[in-house]
Amino acid sequence: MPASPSIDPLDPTEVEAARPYLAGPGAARLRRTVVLATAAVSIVPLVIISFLYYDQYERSLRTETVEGVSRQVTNNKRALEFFLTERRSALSFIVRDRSFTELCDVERLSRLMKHMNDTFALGSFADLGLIDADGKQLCYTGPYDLKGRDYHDQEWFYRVSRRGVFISDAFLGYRHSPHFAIATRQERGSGGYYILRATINAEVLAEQILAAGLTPDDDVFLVNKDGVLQSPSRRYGAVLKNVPIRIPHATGDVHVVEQEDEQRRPVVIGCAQVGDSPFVLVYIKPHVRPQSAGLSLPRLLLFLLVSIAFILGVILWGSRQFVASLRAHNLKRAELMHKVEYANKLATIGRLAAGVAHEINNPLAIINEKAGLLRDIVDLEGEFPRRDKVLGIVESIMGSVGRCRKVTHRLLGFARHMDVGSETIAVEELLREVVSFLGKEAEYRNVTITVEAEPGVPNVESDRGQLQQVFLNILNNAEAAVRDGGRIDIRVRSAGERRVAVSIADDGIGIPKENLDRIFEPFFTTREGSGTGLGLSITYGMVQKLGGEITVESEAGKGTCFTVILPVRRG
Amino acid sequence: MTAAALNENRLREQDLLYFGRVLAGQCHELVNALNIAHELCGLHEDILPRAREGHTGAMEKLGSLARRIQTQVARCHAIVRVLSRFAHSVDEPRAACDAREILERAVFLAARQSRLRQAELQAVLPEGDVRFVDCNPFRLQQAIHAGIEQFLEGIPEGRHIGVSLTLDLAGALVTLESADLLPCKDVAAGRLAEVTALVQATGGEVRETPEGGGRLVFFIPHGRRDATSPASDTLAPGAGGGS
Amino acid sequence: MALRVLFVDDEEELVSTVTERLDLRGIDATGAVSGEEALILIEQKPFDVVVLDVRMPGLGGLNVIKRIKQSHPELEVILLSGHGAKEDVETGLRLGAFDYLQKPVDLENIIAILHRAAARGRA
Repeated sequence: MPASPSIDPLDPTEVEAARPYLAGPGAARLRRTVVLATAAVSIVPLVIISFLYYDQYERSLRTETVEGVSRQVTNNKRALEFFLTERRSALSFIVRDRSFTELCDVERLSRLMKHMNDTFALGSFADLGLIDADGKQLCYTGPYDLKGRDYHDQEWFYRVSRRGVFISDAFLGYRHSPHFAIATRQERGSGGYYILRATINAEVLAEQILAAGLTPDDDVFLVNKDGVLQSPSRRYGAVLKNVPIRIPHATGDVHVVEQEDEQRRPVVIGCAQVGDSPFVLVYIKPHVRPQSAGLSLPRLLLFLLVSIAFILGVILWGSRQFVASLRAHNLKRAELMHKVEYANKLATIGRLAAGVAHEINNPLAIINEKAGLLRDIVDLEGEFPRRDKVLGIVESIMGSVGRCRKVTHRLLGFARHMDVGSETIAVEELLREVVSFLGKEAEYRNVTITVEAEPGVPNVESDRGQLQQVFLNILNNAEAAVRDGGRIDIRVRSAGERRVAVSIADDGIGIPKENLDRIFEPFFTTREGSGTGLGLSITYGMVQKLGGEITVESEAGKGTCFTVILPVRRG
Repeated sequence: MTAAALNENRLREQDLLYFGRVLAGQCHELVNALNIAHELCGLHEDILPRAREGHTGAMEKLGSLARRIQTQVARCHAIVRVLSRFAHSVDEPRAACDAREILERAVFLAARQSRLRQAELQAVLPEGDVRFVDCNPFRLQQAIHAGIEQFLEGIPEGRHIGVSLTLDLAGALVTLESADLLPCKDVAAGRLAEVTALVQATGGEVRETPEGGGRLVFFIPHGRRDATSPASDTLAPGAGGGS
Repeated sequence: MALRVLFVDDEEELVSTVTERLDLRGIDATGAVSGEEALILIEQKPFDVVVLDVRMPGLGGLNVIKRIKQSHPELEVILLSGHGAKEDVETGLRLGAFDYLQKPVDLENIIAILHRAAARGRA
């Protein structure tokens, strides 16, 4: 008896194929892929959206600011124009309504001014003066002593003389607070004219009108065309200072620009020409940055960083769990398949052995009886008359011996190929052998089994034991599927150049169409409560290992045909 | 695969190979017996005419031939009986095994190999009340058989090998020794590894090894379930107990 | 002259039955149940053909062939093989065996081959 062959349970190519989910490098590669993919899909959109949002927010803030400034400028311009128009109209009215003589009366003039201050909101008339065509102030009411003053060489005099109405720039003049003057000319009946001039307190104007509704960071002021402050500015100081920034060109329409101020800070500047005056209204609003709304770029980056770190953390942890569990599952599965394949094999030969033992007992008993009978005949009968009978008995013994031998050889044929190997196999012969393995069961049930081979089918180089197991599995299924009296037809033919096809067709219950795709799946079974559902998947795997393929055709109620195609040469 | 899983796989493959080996061997024995029966029948046919012609002793000869046929048939029966029991021993991963029967069976199945090595194999059966050991019958038998093979391969031809088994409440103690206490050759080291793997799989231990010229002693305890056994995952759900 | 045949197999029953049957057919058949016994007998008596079971305990069939071919090169050897002893048969044939037979052997077959072997031996 030869020593036990060296045991190498694992086919190295199989281990190699399973390696991605078994060993370190493969698992690490998988994990890397999963992490990169998931991270890319979750982090990239996050970053993009965050920056888009930030940008969008900045934009909308900017728009809001610009619109706000525009609104403010419009409102202020209107208010200013109204103020000026009111004052101008008042002067015009007075100068038309009162006679020259009346206006020369200083008490009258004072009273007029007082009434004007009482009537008009904000008062703000600082003084009132009557000036004749030569520029001499004939009458004056106000805080200073300016009667008799001569203005003939002043520009405003020149202007109002020509134009009829004039609003001056702000000035300090004899006074130390900013004022501006409104003057209006009135024709005299005798062909001359006189001028009524009022001085308006510019600060009042600034405080009452301009400063209304001003937010703390903003600034609104008036400048003249030379950029000199006509009203106090928060940023740039008192009246008559020069404004250091470039004021955009102003028209009667509101004009809003974004530019940098003198300190290179971004601001929004709105300006508009105040109608019929030398004033340009300027509104400066610092650009609202997202910072001021609590959303600064560093903060955004911090948020992103934290989020990304968190996401990555979760992905890394999750992927590790995932890969580990995938690996564990694959290991378990591989082990289970191995276990079941093994149990399958063992169950088969166990059954065969038991079956053989069962089958052999009958003929053995027969031999025994007959031999016993022989002895009796020979011992008891003195003479030897019944030669034919004796011969008959002996022949029957030999027949039984032959049966026993056949059965034993069959079992031997299967038992001898438990280890993996490769040899040249005549497929038809192997199939007949396997059919005989089915033993008496098929015969008792009157199931007809035929084996036919095309002429000239080549022999196949393969593992005998595995091939036997494959066909035995299929035949067992076929036998279970047919009724008593059914049939199973086995055909062997060439399938192309280097291939052999074996088809096993039964006329049994068949497989419903919806199950056909799944019958080779592990754990899939249509038989309630019987079997693990692994038989056909193992068969499938075995055929694959042998370098072949297995397909099935079936119609429920009609029958099933399994076709196994094998390469003539392996590899 | 984990080392444990690999080990289990190896054991299973070993199981299959062992099963096949034993089966093949017994088939050979069967065929031998049947061949002889066949020849005896042939001889019977040859003698028949002489008996008819009344040659002396021919009748007795026929009778004797018939008896000899029966002897061969009895031999077949014995083999088939053991084979059948053997085939069923893989059905359960754990059972209350009749230790006597297992030992007898192991010795019977190893008889062929012993004959080829011209060794005399003798079983010393356990006495006493305790007859059963609760373990994996297939593995136990395989272990005993592998131990016998170790001796067959490790000692010179023509020696005597004794196998004894004692049972107590803890488990079964199996002792193998060659009467001459010869050292076992290195060539049998592979066998020792097999025995060790089998014994450990059942939760037992090897207590003595025969390298220096001693005995092979191993112990298999009661009641450990062998997770790698042949039938721990049978095809029918609910049967046996898979791990 | 009757063919002198030595039949060697470790199954004693087989040996006795076959030799008896050969005797009944006019062949001078002797039996041996081991290689050693066979070699002893060869020295004691002349034989024309030896039928040898390839697988035997002790001195196996192949060793016996070797010895026979050394001491009695003209003695033809026919191998008897059981199931699956292909390599042994091939080796035996290379060592000089005349032919081989598979068990179970048809007696007519054996006799035919015996005569052929003996004819070759004499030539």
